[in-house]
Amino acid sequence: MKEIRKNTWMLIALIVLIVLNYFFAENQMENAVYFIVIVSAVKFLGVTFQFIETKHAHFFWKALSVVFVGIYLIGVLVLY
Amino acid sequence: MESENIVAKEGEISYPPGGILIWMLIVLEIFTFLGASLVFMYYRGIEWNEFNEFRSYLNPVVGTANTIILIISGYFMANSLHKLRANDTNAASIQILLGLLLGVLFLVVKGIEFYQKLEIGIGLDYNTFFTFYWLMTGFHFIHVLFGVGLLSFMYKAVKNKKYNSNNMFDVESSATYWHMCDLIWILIFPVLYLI
Repeated sequence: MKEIRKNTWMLIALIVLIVLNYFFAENQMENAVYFIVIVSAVKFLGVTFQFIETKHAHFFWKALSVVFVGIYLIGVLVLY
Repeated sequence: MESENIVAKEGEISYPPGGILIWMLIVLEIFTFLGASLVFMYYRGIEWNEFNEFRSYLNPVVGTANTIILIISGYFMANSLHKLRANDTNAASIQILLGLLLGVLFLVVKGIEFYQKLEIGIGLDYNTFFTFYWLMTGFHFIHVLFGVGLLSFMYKAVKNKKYNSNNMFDVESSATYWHMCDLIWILIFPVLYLI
């Protein structure tokens, strides 16, 4: 099925991002925090839009998901 | 048909995936854990050295493994809905079971981590860092525990063909709840284990 294939690609992408996040954190690379937080935001949106299928929902719910991520991104980076 | 109605309702503001009530819960929960993550970051700025020192008490490999476990579990739950929409209840129940087993694995790994902390005397009142650690991961643990119970019920019900493509709202809501556990972990894992 087409949607299951899309889910599988999303899963692969998410796992790659999770592993990359780990290596960035472990190698204590300069500006790693930006990468880690941005990757986390992408993971959040990936799960929300593909797995929860918010992509089919009303604009309000899509916008709300993006607002959550925006608050997280800005908040964590400002407070870091 | 009811399923046609559901499809027709998709895209309406009052019909987010899983229904409006589960989304009210998601909004509240995400705001709570988002707030906790930001307050954690605020205190981290105040007690920079202590937080960096005590973060090294956590194992990021275990945290990363648990993130992958939870994401794969969510993948199976997402697939279960597509299988159920195709009226393939056997495949749907297997997908739910796989998601459920991975949820249990997450709890086991987290339980071992909790036990190891308690064994060396790191409890809720050990210091500020671990107060946040216990509260954030502890509440998340309870959410996953509840989710595992919910998925167990859904697994049995789907296996017994109580749900199908025309009647799958409860399964959709349960899957959305399960994804919420994913989302919470995605928010709290980097601030506690990686940054």
